[in-house]
Formats: sequence, structure tokens, C-alpha cells
Amino acid sequence: MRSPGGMKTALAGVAVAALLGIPAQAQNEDYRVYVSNEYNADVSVIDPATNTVMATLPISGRPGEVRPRGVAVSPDGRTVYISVSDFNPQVETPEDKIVAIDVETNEILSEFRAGGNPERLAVSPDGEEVWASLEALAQGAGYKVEDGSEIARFPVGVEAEGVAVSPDGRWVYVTAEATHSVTVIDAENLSVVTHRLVGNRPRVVEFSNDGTRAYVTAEIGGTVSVIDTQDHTVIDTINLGLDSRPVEIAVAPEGDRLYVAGGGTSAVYVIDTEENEVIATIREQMGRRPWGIAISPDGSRVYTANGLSDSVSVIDTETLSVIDNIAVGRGAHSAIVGRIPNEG
Amino acid sequence: MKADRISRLALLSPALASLATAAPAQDGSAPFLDWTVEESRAFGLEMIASRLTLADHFAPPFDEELVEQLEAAAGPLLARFGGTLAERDAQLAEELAAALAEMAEAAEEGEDPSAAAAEAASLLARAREVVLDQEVREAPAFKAAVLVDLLLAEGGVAEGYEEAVEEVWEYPSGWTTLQRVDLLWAEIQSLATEEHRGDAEEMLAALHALYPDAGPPGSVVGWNPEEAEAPAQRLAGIVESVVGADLFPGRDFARLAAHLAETTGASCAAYEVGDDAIGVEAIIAVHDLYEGELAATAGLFAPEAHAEAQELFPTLAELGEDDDDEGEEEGEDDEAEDGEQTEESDTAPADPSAHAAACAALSETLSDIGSALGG
Repeated sequence: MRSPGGMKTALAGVAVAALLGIPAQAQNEDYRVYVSNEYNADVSVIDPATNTVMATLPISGRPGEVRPRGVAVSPDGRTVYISVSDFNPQVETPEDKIVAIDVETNEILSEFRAGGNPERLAVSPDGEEVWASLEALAQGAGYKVEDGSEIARFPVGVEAEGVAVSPDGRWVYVTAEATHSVTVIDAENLSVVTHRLVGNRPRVVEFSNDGTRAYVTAEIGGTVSVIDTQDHTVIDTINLGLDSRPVEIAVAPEGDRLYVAGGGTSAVYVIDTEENEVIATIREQMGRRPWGIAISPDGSRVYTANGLSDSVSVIDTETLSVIDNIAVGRGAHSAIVGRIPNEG
Repeated sequence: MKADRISRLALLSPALASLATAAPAQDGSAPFLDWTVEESRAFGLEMIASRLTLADHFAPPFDEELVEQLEAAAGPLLARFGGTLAERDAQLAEELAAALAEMAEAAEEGEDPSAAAAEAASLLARAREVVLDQEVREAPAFKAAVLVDLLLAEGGVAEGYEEAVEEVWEYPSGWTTLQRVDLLWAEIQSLATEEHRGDAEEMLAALHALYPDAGPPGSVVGWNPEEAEAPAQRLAGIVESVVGADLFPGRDFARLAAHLAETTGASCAAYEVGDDAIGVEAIIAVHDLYEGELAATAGLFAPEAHAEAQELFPTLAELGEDDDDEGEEEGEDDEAEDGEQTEESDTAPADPSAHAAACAALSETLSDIGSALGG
């Protein structure tokens, strides 16, 4: 992962990256994988060079009462955000908050209130806003990163779950488990545009890198809905199987593949985004109940947070096989990649 | 605790009937469509059986929450199949109703209800064979559907654990329901592959670890109310694969809404002739599926029709605590929250033609909701 040789190597890396269509930024950086451990109330930080846990960051001194779940990363990769709540979604408490972690130092930079059981997070492309799904309140809310002030809250479906901001910053999509819906929020005009019906129990939504598509997993439906972001309509539904129980999605840097964590089958489904078809299913050596999933900046590795085996599986995306399993904390929930300048 | 009696009661009221173990999986079947009302009847039978276990397991005086659960056995749970039972075996229906009422009354008055519970359990086992046709009750997909209901429905395993944070006597309810799940799993597990069996048993072990015994928790500090949901959901998914049937009704909202409209429409004939107890069985089954799968979605996409449905349901059937908790959570009409099933709802129209008209209106409203959801 690390590339000694300073500027010359870095420039060569840029050239190679350009040939491969990989963002140049990815070649000049190291990265770390952050995994929220729901039941341990901490975050495991994985060094991908050694596939070992390099740090465990406590989020609360009350494991079993306070839980970190959703994760997101700033566009520059330097700050990881964790949504924190307790186990009593009916009551808004001081534990309902968002914690910002500095990727370089692994220190907590700041935290701010996000009332109503924040479940998942997304960061705006300018890095200035964090949007959260507030599960208990059936709302989506935006916050200023700078001071934690609330930008706006909007009613969404019941049991808000997934949230994503489009690459151009215009749209915020919020899924809701109980209403099987995606709510489209206009982040510029601060208004709700529409609600769309998707598969049963939608979990996570992710935009394609070019922003023309949004992908929504449906846990009970066993599907991925494909939404055309031009008019916010569902244009395709990818069937993964009734027992697949898909949750998180990782979009490959080139945009040609989706990697979907299948919690029901302990599998990762690989989807070709041109055909919207499953082209491979990775099962062998996978940890149990993968919910979280993240991809390395160069797209060569996929990491799954496995809630039942308390582990992270490392997948080589060229061979589409599991090459390692790393023990993390109890109830591994979500995974995200943070980036830092390389040390070369 | 009276553990010796538990096994006796379990024998008196076995989970549905014994299974022809080599029955094939039923690819493509959907019990919630094929046996909508039968599934609701079976759920009522199972939940009464679990309440009887509770009555036998704990010694008086009983907590008020527990008394309410026991009373529900003689009320809304019995209403799920009481009309059919009375139609097919009036004497058995009377005896069962009397035994359940006696059990509930004893519990309320702080007396030992176990003798009445044992009598009711014996009658319940007979009632099961009367109200559920053999072909249905022995179908693996049907058993699996009931098993999933017990895992995921209100008063079931996952919900019992979750609700125990606020009402600790939901925990024993979840515990007894888990014992019923064990029995049903035992009847279909021979259809499972080795891998599925191993996975299912792991999930069952996880649930039993959360429910080590029937006693309500002394403290819920540090309690993760959602902890039973993941293994319960996973087990439901495994069971679905084992029997090769669709056990999650909400995968196609429009289809489900259309089916509920049709089921409701078919029940209107019973109301027309004043046979409300039969009509009520269908309405309770429809309401279960509506509340569980469609209500929240309809509230978002067809709010006016949803509000109309919420008004019409309680005019056709008194929907007791076991049937209407979702609505309560979502701040919806809770007109029927408190009541147990009574012979006549306070809100029920006075004459059969009014019942039939309300039934027809509900059917049309559900059809409209189906259209709004893509039908």
C-alpha cells in the first residue's frame, strides 16, 4: 500500500491511475478501515497493510447501552463520522450524537447532538454538512460540520434508516424501513421533493459516482432498487434472492461494480452496474452476517463488517475471494475507509 | 415455577399436528395468500396455548400485565377462530370459551388458574383439529408461516423481548412463544439441509440465550431491546428457505393490498346474514396483515385512504391489544386499544346491513390503497 520514492513515484502513480481510470488522489494516500462495533461501543481501526487492528477507539464507557452504528467519511477522507445512540429509540437522550474522528491521529475531533436515534450518516460533497437518518423521529436532518448546528429536518418514512447525498450535493435520499420508502430531499432548496416506494425494508442507499443512479438495498425484499436520479423513479430492481438480506453497498471507484453485503446468506453479491446483474457471489471464507461494507480507494480490496462473527472479511476484488478475516469488536455493524497522506 | 406442568401442558396442546416428516417443500406457495384466515386462526390457537402455559407457570397473585395477557386468551385471541369453532362444534366452542373465561377470572381474582388452564389446553387441542383442516395444518409451509408469526408478530419472540423494556411481562410471553417455535421447528426441521439446520439451531440457541427462563427480568438496565430481532429475522429467513415458501407478505405491496381487499370482500357475506363471528375472523386476519405490512406505507403514500381504513376496521371487529399495537406506536387511531374482544363492539353498527356496508367500504378502500401502491 505504501509507495516509497517520493514525488517521482507519486507522479508515476498519477499516470498509472489515469490509465486505469482511478482517481489520482487514491494513489497518493494510505488508508485505514473504520468499523463500528455496535455492542462494544467502540470503533476498530484496521491497518490494511497488515490486516490487523491498529487501534480501538472507545465511543462510550457504557457498552451494551450506547451503540455506534452508521459511519461516513468526509470527501477528503480525513474525517470519519460515527452516529451514536442508545438502545431506547423512543427517548431522545444526550447519547444521540455524531462523533467526528481524525483519521490521521485517530482522535475524536468533535461531537454534536443529533436527536432522535441517528442511525446512518452521509457527508455532503463539500464536506461542510453531515446528514443523518433519525430513526425514532422518522426524519432526515442536516447538520453543519463546523459547529454542529442543525440546517433542517424533514419528515421521511417511518423508521428512517439509510441516507446518502448525491455527488453534486443537490439531493439527499433517506430510506425508511417501515414504509419501504425513499424520501428525496432537495438540499439546495431545503424541501421534500417526493417519496418513492422501493423493496421491503430498505436499508442503505448509495449514489453512483456520476450521480445518475441511486441504489437501495431491501433487506426483506432481497433486492437492490435502481433509481434514476433525474426524475427519482425506480427503473430497475436487481433480485439477490429472498434469503440474501442485503444491507450496505460499496460502489467501486470505477463505478462498474457494486458490492452488496448479504447478511442473510453471509455473502457478498457483486453487481455489474451496466447490466444491473449479479455477476458473482462471494461466500467461501466469509464471516457471518456481513452488514457493513467498504472498498479501498483503489478498488482492490473490499472489507465487510460481520455482525455475527465479530470480524471483518477482506476480499480481493480481482479474484473475488476472501483473503483474510480480522477479529474486531462485538456486533461489527458498518465499515468505512478513511484516507491519510502516504508516508513515502 | 412449575416446570413439570409445562411439559404436561405442552403435551396437551402440541404445536399443531404431528408432521409427515418427508413432505416436500412447497415452492412458490405463499401461506399468507393461500391460507390468510387459517393462518390467523392458527396464530390465535398458538398464542392461547402460550398464555395457558403462563397461567400454569406462575403462581398467584398475578401482576396486572400478566392478568391482561391471560384475559386476552378468552377475548381477542379466541375471536380469531371462535366463529368457525362454534359453527363446526358448538359444544366444544362453549366449553373452551368457558374454560378460558374461568382461567382468566381465577387469575384476576388471585386464585390458582392452573386447573382451568389445563382443561382449556385439552379443549384447545381438540379445537385445533376442528378449525384447521388437516391438509392445511399439516402443510410444512403453513407450519412455517405460523412459526414466523410467532417469531416476529406482536406478542412473539422478538417483540416480546423488545417490549419488555417497558412492560416486563412481555418477556414471559416471548419466552413461552419461543417454546412454541421450538415445537414447530421440530416438525419441519427434517426438510432442512444440514447447513440450514445448523444455522437454524444456532439462531434458536441465540434466542434461548436471551430467554434463559420465563421469569420477567429484574432490571432492564443495559438491555438491548432489539437483540432478539436479528436472530429471529435470520431464523425466519432460514425457515423460508427450508419450506420453499414466501413467508414475508410485504414483498409485493400492491398484490397484498389487492388480496386483502378481496378477502375483506368475501367476508362481507357473513356480515350480511348477521354471522359476525365468521366475518370478524377474516377482518382480524386482514387487519394483522394491513397493520404489519401496509399501514405505515399507506400512511405515507395514500394517507386519506389509510385514515379511512383505520376508521373502518374497528367498526367490523374489536381489535384488542394483540392486534393493534403498531397503530398505537405510530400515533394512529387507538380507539380499540384497551378493549378485549366483546360480543358487540361499542363502535360496531347496530344492524347487519350497516356491518355489510362498512365491510364493502373497507374492501374498496383497501383496493384504492393497492392502486396507490402500484397495483
